[in-house]
Amino acid sequence: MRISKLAQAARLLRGAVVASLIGLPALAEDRPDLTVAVNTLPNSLESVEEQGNVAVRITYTLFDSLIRRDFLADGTGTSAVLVPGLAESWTRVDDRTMDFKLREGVKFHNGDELTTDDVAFSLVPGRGTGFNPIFGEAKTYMNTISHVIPLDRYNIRIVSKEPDILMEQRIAGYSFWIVNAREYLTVGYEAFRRKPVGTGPYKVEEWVDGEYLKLVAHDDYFGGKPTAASITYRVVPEVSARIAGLVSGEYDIAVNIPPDQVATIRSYDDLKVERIVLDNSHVLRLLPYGPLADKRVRQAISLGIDRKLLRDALWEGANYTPNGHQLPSYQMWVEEFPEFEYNPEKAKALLAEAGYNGEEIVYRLGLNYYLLSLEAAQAMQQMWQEIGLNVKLEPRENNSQASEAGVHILPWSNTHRFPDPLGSFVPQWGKDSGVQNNKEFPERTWNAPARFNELQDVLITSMDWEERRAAYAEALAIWNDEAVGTVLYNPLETYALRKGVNWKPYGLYYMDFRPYNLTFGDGSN
Amino acid sequence: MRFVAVKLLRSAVTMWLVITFVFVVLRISGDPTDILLPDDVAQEVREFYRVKWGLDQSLWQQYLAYWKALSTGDFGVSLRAGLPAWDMVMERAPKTLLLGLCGLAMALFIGIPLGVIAAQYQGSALDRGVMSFAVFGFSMPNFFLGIILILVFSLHLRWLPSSGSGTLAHLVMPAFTLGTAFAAQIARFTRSAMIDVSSRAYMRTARSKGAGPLRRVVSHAFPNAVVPIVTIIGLKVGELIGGAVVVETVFAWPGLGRLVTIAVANRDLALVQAILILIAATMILTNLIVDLMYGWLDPRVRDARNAAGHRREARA
Repeated sequence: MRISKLAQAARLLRGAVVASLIGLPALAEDRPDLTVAVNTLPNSLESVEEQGNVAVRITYTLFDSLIRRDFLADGTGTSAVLVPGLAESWTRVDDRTMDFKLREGVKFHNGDELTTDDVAFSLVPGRGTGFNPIFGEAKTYMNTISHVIPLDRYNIRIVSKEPDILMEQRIAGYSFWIVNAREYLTVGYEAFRRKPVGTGPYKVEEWVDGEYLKLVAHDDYFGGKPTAASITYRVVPEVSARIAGLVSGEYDIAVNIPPDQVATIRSYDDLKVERIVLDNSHVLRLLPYGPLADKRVRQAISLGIDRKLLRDALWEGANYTPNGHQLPSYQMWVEEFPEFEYNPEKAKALLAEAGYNGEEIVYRLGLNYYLLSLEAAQAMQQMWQEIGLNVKLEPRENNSQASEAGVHILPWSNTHRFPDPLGSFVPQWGKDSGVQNNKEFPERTWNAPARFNELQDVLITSMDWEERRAAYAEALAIWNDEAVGTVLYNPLETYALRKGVNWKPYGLYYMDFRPYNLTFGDGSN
Repeated sequence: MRFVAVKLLRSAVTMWLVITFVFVVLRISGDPTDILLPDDVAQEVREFYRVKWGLDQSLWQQYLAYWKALSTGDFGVSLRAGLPAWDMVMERAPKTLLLGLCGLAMALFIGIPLGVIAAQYQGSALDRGVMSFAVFGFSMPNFFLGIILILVFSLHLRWLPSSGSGTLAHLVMPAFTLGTAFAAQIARFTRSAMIDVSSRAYMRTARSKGAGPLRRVVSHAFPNAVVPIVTIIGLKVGELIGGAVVVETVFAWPGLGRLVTIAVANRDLALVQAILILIAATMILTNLIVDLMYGWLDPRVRDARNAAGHRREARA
């Protein structure tokens, strides 16, 4: 008995020595661990399954796409320049066809080399497109793909259903991240969504539901050795707790900081704030029925909004309102398109002309959905009162309660998923949109002028940039004139960081921790 | 036996009411596709999910389908996570239980002695001091106390982690926050129960037979005062399982309270139901245990029940 205990002790000791020796390389690790305090974690890391902001800020670090959108090309974080990703080059074969040459030697998290089989599998019908995909939302962005033909181990051809001038942008954007086919097929969807295998700079180490998700460096990353040893996303739902943890040194970055906390963070010497105006527009839907049936009333509503005052009061003047439903980062940005006008006198005249007599206009909004939307609504209610509009504010628990019968104005946001009207304007307001086809509330349907929808067809099918640009400018003008919606501003996203962390946010919710956008120390990146 | 059977029948009806009520309220007060999908998603995609989640069927069909699944022990699948609802609940339950029990222990540890002391020194400055604490502790909102603690112990002193649940140190502030309000309630109940028994005849007897103050409190007064305290603890245990929604959110404690908040906001029916069934079952069970404990703690209750049983038998 005694001997066996001794032997056991010896075994334990030996184990301890071996363990400490194995631990040596870890001790030699000179890269820091990064901890990010997030409001919540997604339920899945399958990149086509969850595409909300909570998910993409993590999955962007796990996967790469064939073509990469270089958000930092002009230093703004919103640039739309396309650069090689997993593909080192690509060529247009015709209007519907593109050939890609993959980088050689790119390693997945499990050690497999990237081949065209992985690309073909990632875009296969049944994953994100097709008759019964696991996730429907990807269809919106992937459905243009007809089929994929691997030409050899490193060359692959992608064919779209229709002529597609935006194919490069699509492939650089949502849903086109490449997964490891062997892993996916071996472990299955259920396991893969918890521990996916991509080519990104970090790989999943441990995920404790509701608590944290830990990623560790993928040292074979084709874009260079990751600069942090690990990244842990820790769930901290309460803003004040996120800030407190940042101050006390538990976290390095905290997300979703409301604008009114910026001054607090700046008051600490070792903290800083990174802000970005998102590729997203807060808009109002003006439902064309009842008191808003006359478009002059809708135009007056838009003319009565002092957008600059809203931006200054709510967003410290740090964001902007685009000129029309577009972004400056669009390749065909209509620079000369006029700003949204604030003109109370003109608004009053239009209301008089329309014979508006103080009929009640109901503005309903779901609470805690769009940042500062209640504050904006209260301010606008006052602005509208000054031009004689009788707007009643009705806050509700959620958006679906807000959109019940009897509402005339609804807040909405439009994300510009890629920098083109096809990334936002067409899907949100075009002829196939809910705005033009409201089955539940037919009276709210916008019967758009035929010309507006003809212009949309040009935007979708034309391969001529000048023709598209002219069509877009005309469509934007019709949209402003019809005033079934109007843009308020693009919101800001604010991150708080320790000063030693050099990292820049992007206009989409991606958090990019690739080596070129994450360094530590006093030097700035 | 009959007593337990009636209780169980009542419990089953309560359970049915809980499930039905939650089902109807959640279903008519928001569409999960509006809440779970991005706000600017295409109509076609919305329809896809309505069919996938069975929301295209009538409320009545959905209700029957839910019961049919439930009768086979299937609590359904969370819409948002795509995981079995019951598994998700069971994963979180231990954390909530740990926090709840620590909070309860802290409450008892602080509340009972304070209540006894206040009763002993009734009317004195000490009594007023303890009762002021009780009012303060009870009226202080959880989230406020929680944030104050974070400010002091995480931000300034840097002694304790501000949130999370990894170590024992993580447990201190949430358990204290949770325990404070409850301690205050227990102190008040203990005080009034102790004062109530202190004028009873058996206390005079104890004094006259020469028992010292400590012995009088511990052996004579407290056992008699314990019944109302057990009642309030019984009620609270159910609440503790329900999770300290606010405390769990402030301290990012990964328990049921946080899960249910998110699930309700998302109208994630299967998940909300699974949690509420667990909470209702715990409430019912603790009430049953408390009822049974009365008999054990107070022989008079047991005798009365037995006598009633005998009377019924005699009539039969």
